[in-house]
Amino acid sequence: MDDVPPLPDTDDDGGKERGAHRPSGTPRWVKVFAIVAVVVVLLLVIHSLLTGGHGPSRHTGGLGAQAPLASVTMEAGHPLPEGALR
Amino acid sequence: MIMPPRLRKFALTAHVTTSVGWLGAVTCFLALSVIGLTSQDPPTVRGVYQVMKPAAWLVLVPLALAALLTGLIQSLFTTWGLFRHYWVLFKLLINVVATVVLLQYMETFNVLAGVAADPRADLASVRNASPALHATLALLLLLVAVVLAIYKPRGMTRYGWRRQHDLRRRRNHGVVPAQ
Repeated sequence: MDDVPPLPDTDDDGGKERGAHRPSGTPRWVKVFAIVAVVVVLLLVIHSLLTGGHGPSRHTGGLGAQAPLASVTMEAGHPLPEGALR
Repeated sequence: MIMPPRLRKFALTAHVTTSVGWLGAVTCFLALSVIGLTSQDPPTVRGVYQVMKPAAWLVLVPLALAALLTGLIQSLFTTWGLFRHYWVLFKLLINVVATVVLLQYMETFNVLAGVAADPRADLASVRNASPALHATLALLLLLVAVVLAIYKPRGMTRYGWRRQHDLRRRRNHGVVPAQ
């Protein structure tokens, strides 16, 4: 966040008022950001539903940690914290 | 209440320092994650996942909370406001989401450190792509916040527009002196 402008809603270089960006005209970048945010949230929800949750074993990408992570940890006598492998 | 110029500069310095520091710390975590995934040296791989947990508590969490706090101060006590401009609002959302995910992820760091500390766990079990994925996403999110802070794209919220309209009207009537 930068320093404050002379007025809350004036342009830095010319002091031109931003009347064109009133609520009736939501800027395009705001709409794009909102759509991207909704899509990302939806993807995360779908991913969570498909994989049954979220946790360190969900992003291994075939590195072999998913199954051994649980078995090795249990074998070593270090019970996983509740919900750690969700 | 609006901060005087000197205090405002100090608050801005604190906010930029903590925010950029957080970005740098996430970059270091991404580097650690890549080392953990690619190194052929077992002690190095185990060390990487063991150091992530304390390093996150000592660096990532304090910087994330400090960036959030200084950002709130910077917006609430300047004429930018917290809900007046879309770019400020998006930055707030990014900061809150990233901080909440980080705090939840601390449990994952705990699990990864536990596996890495177990000498019976083979190296393939210790390696985990999760930190790399999360660090990459966090980096992207924080870069978006930096871009928003620097470019300050135009656009006022409905609330911001109302506040500005009120302020102009009061100034025109001589109730509030012009800045």
